[in-house]
Amino acid sequence: MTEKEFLRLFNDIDNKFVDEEIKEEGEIMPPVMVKKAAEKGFSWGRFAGIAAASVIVLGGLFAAGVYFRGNNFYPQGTETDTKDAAESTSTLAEASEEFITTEPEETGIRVNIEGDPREFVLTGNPHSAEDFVDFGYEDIYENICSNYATHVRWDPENLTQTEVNRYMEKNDAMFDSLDEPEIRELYLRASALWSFFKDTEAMSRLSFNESYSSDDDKARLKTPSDRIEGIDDEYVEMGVKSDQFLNALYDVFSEEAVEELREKFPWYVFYNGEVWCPLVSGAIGTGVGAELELTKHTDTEIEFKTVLYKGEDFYGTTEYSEEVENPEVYKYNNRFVKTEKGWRVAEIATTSGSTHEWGGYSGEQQSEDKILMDGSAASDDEILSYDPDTGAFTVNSCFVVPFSTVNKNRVEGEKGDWIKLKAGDAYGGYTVEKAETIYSDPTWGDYRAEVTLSGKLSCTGTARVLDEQVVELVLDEEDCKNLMGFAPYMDQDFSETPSQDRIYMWITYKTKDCQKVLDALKDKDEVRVKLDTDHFILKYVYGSEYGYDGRTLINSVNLNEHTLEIVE
Amino acid sequence: MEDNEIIEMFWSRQEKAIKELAAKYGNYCKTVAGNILRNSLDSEECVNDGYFAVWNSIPPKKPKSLGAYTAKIVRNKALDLYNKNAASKRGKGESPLPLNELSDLVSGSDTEREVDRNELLRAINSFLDSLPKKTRQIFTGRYFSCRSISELAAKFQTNEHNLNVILSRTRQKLKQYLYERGFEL
Repeated sequence: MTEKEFLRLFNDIDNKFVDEEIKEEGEIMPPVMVKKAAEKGFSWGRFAGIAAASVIVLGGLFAAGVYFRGNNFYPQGTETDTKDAAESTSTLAEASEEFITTEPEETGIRVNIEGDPREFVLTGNPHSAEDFVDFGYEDIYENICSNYATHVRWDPENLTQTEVNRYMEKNDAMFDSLDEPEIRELYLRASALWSFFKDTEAMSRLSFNESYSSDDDKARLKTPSDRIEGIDDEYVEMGVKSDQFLNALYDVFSEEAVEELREKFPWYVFYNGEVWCPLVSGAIGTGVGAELELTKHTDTEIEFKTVLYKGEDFYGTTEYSEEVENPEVYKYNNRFVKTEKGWRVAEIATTSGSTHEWGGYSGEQQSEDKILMDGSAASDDEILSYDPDTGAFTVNSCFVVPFSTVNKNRVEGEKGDWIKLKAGDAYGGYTVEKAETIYSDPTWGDYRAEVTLSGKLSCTGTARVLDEQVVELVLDEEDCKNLMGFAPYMDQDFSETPSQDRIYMWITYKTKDCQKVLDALKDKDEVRVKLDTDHFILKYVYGSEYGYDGRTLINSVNLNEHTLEIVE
Repeated sequence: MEDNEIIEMFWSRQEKAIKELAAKYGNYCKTVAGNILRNSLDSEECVNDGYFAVWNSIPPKKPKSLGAYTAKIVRNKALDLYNKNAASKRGKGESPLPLNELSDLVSGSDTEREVDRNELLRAINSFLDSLPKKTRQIFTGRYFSCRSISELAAKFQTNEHNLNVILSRTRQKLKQYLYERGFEL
């Protein structure tokens, strides 16, 4: 087959993949970008150390679209799906009987927590059944699969992030040796479902109906009794059917395990046929992607351990690193039992801070301090969102520095030359319309910042072809100085002077007037161009997830109002 | 407007159907055609031809996914025109199609043994299904939508090197996946 024939064949891939592409079209790249040429100056030493001990993260948990029955997975809305859902009703009713009351006007319900009935008081009006969304956690499952298959690892030699599958081959060999093909999937499914017990935000990230877009619209169940450790005393309706939620659990876990989960982790109560969950919960992972070690394999029972290591330099239990001598070894149990319905998970390893069979409530708690780039703590009024599980938070401010500021003056935790920008602030000739920074993983220094600026940006530079469809524009140094930069986290070794830094703009062929520049570059290596715009976004990303190396980008937002001219 | 409403308009031969189709899927169709042809006039022509083909085929067809249906028609037409332009040397400079990198996936030979195309497609679909969402979007973005490396790198907030690595690994995985199922491209 030729390359062209393959492209032609690829035309007939399943429509769902094309639909996915179409859906993404609205999010496709910004046509104009600028990068700050800071690659040379950036010191990677600090990151090389911590990245070598990269943690197992189950983050980025979202769900939508598909739910499952038994060991088969069907897209929503298929005939098979509907049929199976109907057939499973009796199981659901049995499972939910003692936990569900069906009268919305009832003001008290009984839930099974340590055998004691608890009273709840309902406030607000629960939504009706037609507002409920299907409980689908396929995206979370995909994320878990991805975490199992791929780890991002720092490669200090090449100064890049690389994807490695450190344990995948070994783990796959272990799973293959079982000759029970569903075990691997059950293990990953169980980990995905566990997300809903370790992190009730997983539930809140399901795709709700539009009517559920705001928490304010939702009814609440309040516990007048004392707060239970790790559980908020206020439950909010989630618009997810309790029978579907339970069904998903029973399809993966054994009945005993489901009951144990519900007793020990009563994050959820069921009322009005719906799942209600607290707004906050604890955080315990399952260690997907870590080394697995088979310890038992019979016809009716399979057991393997999740193996984790901890050394002085580690922030917590994590995968093994040769750089740490004599690490402490932690092993957590995973157990599968053969039931009438097939294999089910009886126990899933939970890995943080406790050897309790289900992890218990004693898992390591994330620090509640939300430290900003300059070392100060974020105040409540500037925090836009916070994920108690990962510690990620978003604030309505950005830290910038005048372009070409000497980097060694800006030491982490010291104010140095940091300038904090918020909406409404002025900087140079620009007005800040919006500022936002996401500290996606504070422990590892991952963050991304954006500031939307209005004000005239008029600059000249040298354009050259970057690739077939992109022109790279190197701004003149004086023009660069009119802009600010985002400094990366840095250490004392970051001593390179940025005086040679320049700002680059990447202009794709889709940008207005780019074709003129591309045409002019047919016969020349470089041409001089002038760009004018009055509204743009300055963006900075450093994140181990994507291997970003700390570049400042500018996205023009007034795409059709800029001018791009060739000048002599 | 919902797909089924637009399809209903096609079935009742309302010309407004084309307008609605263009409003909903025109951007993506133009993107794909543009990525392949790198010429706005040719792209426009392809997209319009695609709409016309949709008009002629609905009815009798009633596609489940109108967007994918239209996009595939437009993409096919763009590939046709690309080949035609290449043959008449109207193309300028290097090919915008990701052909070179595919050489590690396909043999490059025209004399392939007969394979069941449907089976092969099933295997490719199954492979795509098995990929993590981000990887799949990168792969289909490159080989279906023919987006440039730099465009995809920006979209997925990575650098071009990493993106090339992801694409290369995914091609290798696909090759192995197909090989294990008896296909050699």
